[in-house]
Amino acid sequence: MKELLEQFLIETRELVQSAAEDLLALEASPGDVEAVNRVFRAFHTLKGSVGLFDYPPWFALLHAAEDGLSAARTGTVPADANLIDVSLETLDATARWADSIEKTGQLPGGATAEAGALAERYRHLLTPGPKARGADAAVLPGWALQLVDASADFGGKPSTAVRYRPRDDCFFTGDDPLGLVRKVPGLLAVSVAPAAPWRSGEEFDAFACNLDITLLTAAPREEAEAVFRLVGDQVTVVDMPGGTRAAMAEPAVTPASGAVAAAILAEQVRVLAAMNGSDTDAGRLEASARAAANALLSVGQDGDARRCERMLGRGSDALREVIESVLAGGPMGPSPTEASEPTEQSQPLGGDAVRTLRVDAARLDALLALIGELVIARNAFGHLTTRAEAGESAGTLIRAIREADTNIGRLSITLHRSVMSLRLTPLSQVFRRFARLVREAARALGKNVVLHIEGEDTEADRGIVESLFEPLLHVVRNALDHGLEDAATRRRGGKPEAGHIRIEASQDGDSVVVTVSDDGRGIDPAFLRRRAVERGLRSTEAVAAMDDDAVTDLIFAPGFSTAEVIGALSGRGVGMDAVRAAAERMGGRVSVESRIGRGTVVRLHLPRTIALTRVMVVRASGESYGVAMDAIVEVVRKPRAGIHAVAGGNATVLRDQTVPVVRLVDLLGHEGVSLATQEALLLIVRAAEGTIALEVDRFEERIDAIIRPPSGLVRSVLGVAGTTLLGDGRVLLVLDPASILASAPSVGRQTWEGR
Amino acid sequence: MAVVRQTDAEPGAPIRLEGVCPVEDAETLAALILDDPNAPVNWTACTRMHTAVYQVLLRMRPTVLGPCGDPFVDAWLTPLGPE
Amino acid sequence: MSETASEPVDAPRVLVIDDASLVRMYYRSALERAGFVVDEALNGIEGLERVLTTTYDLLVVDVNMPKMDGFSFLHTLRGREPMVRSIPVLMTSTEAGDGDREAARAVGANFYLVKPLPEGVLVAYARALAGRRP
Repeated sequence: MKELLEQFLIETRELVQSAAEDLLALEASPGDVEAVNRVFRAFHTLKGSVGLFDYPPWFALLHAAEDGLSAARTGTVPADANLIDVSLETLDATARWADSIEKTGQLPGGATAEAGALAERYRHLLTPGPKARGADAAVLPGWALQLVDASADFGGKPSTAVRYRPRDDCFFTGDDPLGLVRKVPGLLAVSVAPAAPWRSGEEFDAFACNLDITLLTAAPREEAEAVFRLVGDQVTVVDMPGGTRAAMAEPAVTPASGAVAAAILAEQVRVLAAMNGSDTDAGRLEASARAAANALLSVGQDGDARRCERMLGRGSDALREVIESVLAGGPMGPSPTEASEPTEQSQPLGGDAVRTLRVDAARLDALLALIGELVIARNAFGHLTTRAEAGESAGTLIRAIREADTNIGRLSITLHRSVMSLRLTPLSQVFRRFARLVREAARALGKNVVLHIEGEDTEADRGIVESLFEPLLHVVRNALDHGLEDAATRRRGGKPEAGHIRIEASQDGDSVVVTVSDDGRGIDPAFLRRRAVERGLRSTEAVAAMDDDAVTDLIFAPGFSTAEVIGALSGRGVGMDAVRAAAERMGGRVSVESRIGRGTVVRLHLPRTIALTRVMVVRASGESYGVAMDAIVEVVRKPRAGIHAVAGGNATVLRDQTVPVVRLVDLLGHEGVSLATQEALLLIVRAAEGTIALEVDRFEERIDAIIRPPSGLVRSVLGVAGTTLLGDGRVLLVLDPASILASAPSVGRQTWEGR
Repeated sequence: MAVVRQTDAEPGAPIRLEGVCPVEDAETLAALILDDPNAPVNWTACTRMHTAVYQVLLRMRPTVLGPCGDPFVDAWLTPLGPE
Repeated sequence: MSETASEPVDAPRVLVIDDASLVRMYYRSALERAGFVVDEALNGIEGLERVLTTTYDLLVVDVNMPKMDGFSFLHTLRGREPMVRSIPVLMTSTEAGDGDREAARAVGANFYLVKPLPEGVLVAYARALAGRRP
């Protein structure tokens, strides 16, 4: 700092010298624009330099000088003798103060008053005439201005001044006026003076209040008023505009890193909002993504940082949404695409931050009871050992061991479930955030929207709840933007002007159903058919064969919806493929139902817990594969004669319904040997386009497994939902039939067209 | 009561404010100062001062000793305002 | 003084663009203490020359500068090639009003701070914008 100060003194003297010369030149040739510019620049630099140190009056003076010279530069005030005089005097003071600082380390006595007087002259130049003598002074009461002068911390920022004259009997009513002042946040100055002159001679009544309390706070008016709401009649509040006095060096604090990161994130939202379709948009978007990601990295939220980076290709709105969701304290967990990243795969759904969990006491008790049972079950092995030692026959021992094993198996599953239940969190955590969001979005869209929220007490795993926000946000936004019509259209359609959006949750066995419904215009299947054909997603024949519900479901197809569609779509579209991806990553699914003119319902079926998954192990072409039981509707043995060749594939009739039959080996692209068995073994699975029968060679066993997301080599294999370890150490690939079918469109389409 | 003065104190011995000084202390303090106008007031041990007590000091202007132990008063209300 | 000129390989590199030498000096000392490698430029034109030849993690840019001011500099920067246009920018000015703040936003500044900047504030924002943990 010493070096900096030396440099400061040298530079200050040089600047004073050159600015004085320029001022004199200006005096000699009035109107010399260049000279005015040079003088302005010198004062500007001086101000910046002084600002590096803590000399508030000096800084305030140079700020006023800069304002005056800036006005001269733009021709608002003349660069006349008045301006030149006060500027020369300011330079003179500046030189003297620099000397004083060099000798004593501080400004000389009287500098504050001198600086104030000079600054006042600059201000006077800017607003000449008695009438306009300082708008501030005219509007702001003297007591408030005095406070500003008394406050060292007043940063020239907007603030609030309060005058509180407590009633004289206030002590009897239990008031402690200064007690209230203590509660004012962001205090900058306080002054206490007698309200009326003390009456000399008379006996002093210690219990009569005679005080005039004034204070200045950085807090906004409402906060100040809140403190004094019970004595509102005794209080005057005045808004102090920013710049009432020049900026002072802020206290030497290091802001908390979390606050800094949040401030940066919030700023990126504003920067993104300011984008205007110019050719610098790409740069601005990239820089904002980078700044946001960096800010998140700086506080260790690497997962969120990566989400921001990934939004680069998705445009400013997508990035804004992610930033807003992070700011909203939102899902700190990995995004849909993130689960497939090796760094994240060892984590449960949810995030990377250290977490605490509030645990319901009853749940903890249940857990302890289970542990007790487990201890008892383990003791059974002790007895068995004794029995074995006593020479009991192998036959009875084996049966006893099996029993004990079954018992422990059952307990471990229950234990797992109980532990998972500790992670249950009410959905209200997510739903709550929509109240404000919908209100604000509706206002922005100029729509009148009523939001209903139901079932927010429904619980689901913390990871599910936290990952729910983003997909839900997409769905709700779509309902707001495109689902609900404007008031005029609704009136014409005979609907109430206010649109209704309903977010509901309910528990359905082991899953949670979250429904977003609106009473808007609905989705037009005819339009979707046209669009699907135009986009080459389905053939004309195919869409003609599809019923309306299947067509509506197309909105979830990747690549179906783009921004250009929105207007014409008269329904949903944007990001619905992302919603499906998110739902599926959580182990759930999403469906849509819509009636033209009546509205749209989007349902998210999500698992309640990330529990053990029941997996059916099947064999096809000599390999074992797992298929999650919840994808399997049923298992059927069908005589070969019951499978018929139809156009483009095979099909069978199941309870009066034609179901396409696809061999698992074909789906996996293996060269399969066709088994000439009498019966075909069929897994009836639910896929995106309906029900389909997968033919396998053999059913093996049903196991409970914790499915790990695919990683490494397996990650690139389509249709793999994850892996799990078998008892013998083999890795079992668990297939996701729906995505296999989707990624093999020729198979899927063929069979569908042949239906 | 948190206004302390030894009963047999010499004139000029300090009056001490200790701990929380509630509204009732105002009268006691005022009486003590009136009694011995030259006695200084030691407020270093006062942790929280009621407005009424502060008003007594503002009105009677005794010499105060040391920094005020009430952080709020110390930060915002010292030295005692203009006479 | 036996100061070696060694720079940590992964030290974040920041370019300070400000016409006031004292301000640059102050920023340099603060940012170097915080582990940054600091370069300086006197105005927007010099700043552009530097960013086109060196890779920076952060630019600290003053608004009011001769030749090319901070706004023009930033507008030009954001329209350049990808590696250059995406550098986070901390803009600084002595103007506390909303005018400069809005203008900074409109040209794509990632944060705006009013001078004078306490060292702690400068360092905290520089670190966060450059993606460094405190």
